[in-house]
Parts: sequence; C-alpha cells; structure tokens
Amino acid sequence: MSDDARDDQLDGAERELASALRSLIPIASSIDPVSAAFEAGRRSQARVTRLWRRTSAAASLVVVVMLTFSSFPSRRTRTDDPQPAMRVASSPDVTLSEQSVLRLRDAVLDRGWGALPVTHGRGVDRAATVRGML
Amino acid sequence: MHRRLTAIAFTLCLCASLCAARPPADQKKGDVRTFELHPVAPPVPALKYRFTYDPVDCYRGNAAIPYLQAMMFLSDKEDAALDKALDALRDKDEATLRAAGQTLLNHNTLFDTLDLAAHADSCEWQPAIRERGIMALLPHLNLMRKMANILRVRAAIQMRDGQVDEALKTIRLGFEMSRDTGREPVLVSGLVGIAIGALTNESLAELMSRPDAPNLYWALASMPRPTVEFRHSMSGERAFLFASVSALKRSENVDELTAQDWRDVMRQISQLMSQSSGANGGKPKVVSEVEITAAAALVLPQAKKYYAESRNVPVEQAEKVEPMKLAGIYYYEQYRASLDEIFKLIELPYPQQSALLEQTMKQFAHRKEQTPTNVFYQLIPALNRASASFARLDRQLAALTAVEAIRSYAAAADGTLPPKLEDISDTPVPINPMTGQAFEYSVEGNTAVLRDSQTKDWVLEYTIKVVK
Repeated sequence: MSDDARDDQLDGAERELASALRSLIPIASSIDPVSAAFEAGRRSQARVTRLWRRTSAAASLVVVVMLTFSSFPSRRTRTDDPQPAMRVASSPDVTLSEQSVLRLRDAVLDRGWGALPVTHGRGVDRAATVRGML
Repeated sequence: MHRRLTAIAFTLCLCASLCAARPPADQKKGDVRTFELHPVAPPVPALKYRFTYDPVDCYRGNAAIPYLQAMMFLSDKEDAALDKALDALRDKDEATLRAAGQTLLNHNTLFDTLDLAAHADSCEWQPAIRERGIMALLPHLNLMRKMANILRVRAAIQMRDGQVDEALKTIRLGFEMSRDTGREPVLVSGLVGIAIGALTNESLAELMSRPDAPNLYWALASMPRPTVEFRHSMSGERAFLFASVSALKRSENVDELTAQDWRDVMRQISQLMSQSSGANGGKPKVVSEVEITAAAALVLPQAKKYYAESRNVPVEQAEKVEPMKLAGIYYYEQYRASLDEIFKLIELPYPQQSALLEQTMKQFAHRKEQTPTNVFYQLIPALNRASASFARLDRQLAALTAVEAIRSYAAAADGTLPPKLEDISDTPVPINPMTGQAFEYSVEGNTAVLRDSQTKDWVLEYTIKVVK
C-alpha cells in the first residue's frame, strides 16, 4: 500500500500530521563512538582517581609536617638540656677561597708547591721543580 | 723445533719489555745527582761563609713586614722573564738564561728589602688561624715562592759571572726565606718553606761542582736543624676545628651542645670539606641534613654505649639523650682520640716517628672506612707524607754536608776519595736523619756513591767524582 492510499484513510488533522512528519529530515548523529566509550570509562574510574588524589595529598602533607618539625629542636631536647649552653643559628653557606689554608694545604700535599694558586696580579704560573722533595 | 723457537722468542720479548719498563738510573724517583768536585779544603777562618746571619748582625724586628713590602715591588712585568729563565735553567740554555735573567737582576729594591727581612731576628706572620680556622687566607705563600724563584735565577747568573761570594749571599737569602716561611704555624707554610729550602739546595749543589767553589762544609754544618720544624708547622692544625666551627669555638664542654648544635656542626664541616681538593683520600661530598640524621641513627647503639661508659651513667640515662646529640658526641670524641694518636708521635725523631706514623695512619684509614659518616675524620690530612717531606729536606742538607766532608778529605789526601766515611775525621760526616744511621757509601776508582736506599720511594743517590 502506497502512502497516498494510506492518506486517503486519514482525516484532515491526521493527514496534516503525517505530512509534517514526512517533511522531517533526520540529522546526522554527532556522537563519536570512541569518545563515548572513553567518557564512559573515565566516569567509571572517577572514584578510584579521587581516592588516589586524596591519598597523595595526605602523604605530601605528612612529609611537609615531618620536615618542618625535624628542623626544630624537639620537646625532649629541651627536657634533656634545661639550660642549653648556646643556640647555634643555621650556619651560613661558606665558600672557601683558593688562598684559604685548607685549599692551599690540600693543593700542595696533592701536587707540590707548583699547585699554589696565583695571587692576583703578582703571581707565577710556573715554579722551579724541587727534586725529590714534595 | 718450532715450539722451542717460539718459546725463545717469547722469552726474549719478555726480557726486552721488562728492560724497557725499568726506568734509567737518572730518572729514578727521588734525589739523584752527580757532583764533579775540585778538592778544596774548608776556608780559614772556618766560618768565612755562613748560611745564617750572625745574631750580632741582626736587628730586633719582624721579618714578615719587609717580606710583605718586598711583595709590593713584584709585578706581572717580570713573570715572562722569570718563566723563560727557569725554563732555560732546566734546559741548560745558557744564552736565554742570561738574557731573561738580566731583567730580574736589576730588581735592586726587591733584593735590598729581602736582605732587610733576612736580618730581622724574628718572623711573625700572624695568620688568622684562631679567628678563621681553615678559612684563614695565606696569599703571601705564592709570592714567597715567586721571590724564591727569582733568587734561584739570580744565584745561577752570579755563579756564571764568577761572582761566587755574591752567589753565596743570594743562597743565604734563600735559606733565611725558607726558615722564615716555615715559621708560620701551619702545615702548608711549612711545606712551602721546605720547597724554598730545596730550591736553594739546587743552587748550592750547582755551585759545589764549580771549579771556583769554596768548601762549604762548616757553613752547612753550622746551619740550624731541622730547617723547618714539623712540630711547629703542625701546631696550628690542631686548632683548625675549633676555630672553623662556630659552635665548637664557643663551647668549653661539648656536653652542653644540643642536638641542633651537633647537626649544625656536622653540616658546616661537611660543607667546608667538600670544597677541599681531596688530599685526604677522595673528595668528600656535602652531606645533607637527612643523611646526617640517617648517619646518627646508624651509629646510635655504639653512641649510646659510649656515652654511658664515658660519662659513667646508666644506659637508661643515655637513652633519654637526643640521638643526634649522642651521635655528635660519639663522632667528635672518636675524632679527638684519633687526632691524639697521631699528634702524640709528632715530637719523636723521624726514624721512630715514620714507622709509627705509617702504622697509625693505616689504622686511622681503617677506622675512617668503618665509619664513613664521621665528618670530623675528613679534617685529618695524610700526615705521614707531610712528615716525610720535612725529613727529606734535612736528609738533603746532611748529604750535601757529607759531600763537602768528602771534598775536604780529598783535598788533604791528594785528590783521593775516602775508602770509608768513618775515615773522615776533621769534617765528620753527619748521619742520615731519615734513618738515624750513616749514609751508605761505596767507592770505585775516582768515583764514590753516597746513597740512602732504605727510605722507600724516595731514594737519595749522589755520585761524586773528584776532578784533579
């Protein structure tokens, strides 16, 4: 049975509805099956991810607290040392000069007196060799 | 047949490679040289030549000041000439030596100021050891070396110009400079003092082989020994720790230091030592706060036991003390004990000292290996090597004195060499200060050999020929 034959059996209002329905053009689907699958997976894992995030945040907090407290003397120290002799502030970073006792001593012990560094503007790069000595 | 030939060829190759690997006699490590002596008797008056100034010729003053003034006369200008002259001296390039050295010889203000320094009766460098510890600066050492090199070139040219008396005065300046550098109570200054003394001995040995050289037996025999005192050079080293680390500097009793103080002390030492070149056996690395804490945990059982025993308290009381404090005290007192074990030997004469020091340093190295986390151990240098350097300068001076004693004998015996060292009676041959025994001596024809083969790694071998 053709559409026209069927329309003959309909009344005016039904015919109008049928014509409107036929004029409808289906729109191409915008859903990407891959994205849909990914989204479904992500939603199903959301709970696990949230759990991991919370755990790592808690662990980081514990580390920060531990580090902070370890740089202060504990209460027990104060009990043991009711009158601490001195409180030494954290020593500043010290850079040793190449003319310092330690660096000169090690240089000469290691490589002889030829290793003495040049004093600014008045040095010699080379020193006469001293046989069988240093 | 083929097999036998292969075996012979293999043996020959092995022998050849072994011969090639053995260094020739003149490349031996140590003090090896040859003298061609003209038999000359010691001068009359005996002390016509001296390598020290007579106290009546000295003035009351501090030699360090004129030395520092002399350094003010140094500039970059003479560096190129000095380098050239030293190279020419080593390569025996007479023309270049003379050309380059002439510029240095015109430095009258420098030599006059050095002469002034040598006539002072004391030398106080006043290094800031107590104030700065291992951070104290010694920029003058390199300039002392430079001035000693200039004196070496000056003496060489004076000898070549036939100005023997002038060359001997320059050599005396070198010996005074060696002693004065070594008066600074720091190991490195002692070592530089020794090097200056050895450089001056090079000039002296060269002069002794010249036909116009006087016999310098009494000049050498009357020199103060030891030239540079090891004991004196070490006196500043003991104070390093206290002067370098603020907490220890301010504390009279280490028990008063808190756990945080010990953490600071160890971090500070680690930080300082990480900047050394690693002469103590490998460059130390910076130890972090976490590593220090971990190290304290590792050593805790021993530290607790040590604390209870050394403080005569029950273990329960030791357990109440902060772990870092226990570890700090343990490490520090272990270091102090090791330091004392080493320093107690410093006063001994070298032949006894060397064997014991070698043994003690081995034990210390073992202890250091067992407790690598003890940062205090990094402060102790290889003292056995350093102490040998001091003794070698005195052995060299004793051997040069022996050579002049042999020359004196040859002058009285018509150019013949003494069959034995004991045959020399008017100019007694000094003993070898490194062994405490006589030098080894052998004669063959008109050639004698003075030797010290007992001192391992640092042989001395002087071949002496008499030129009639």
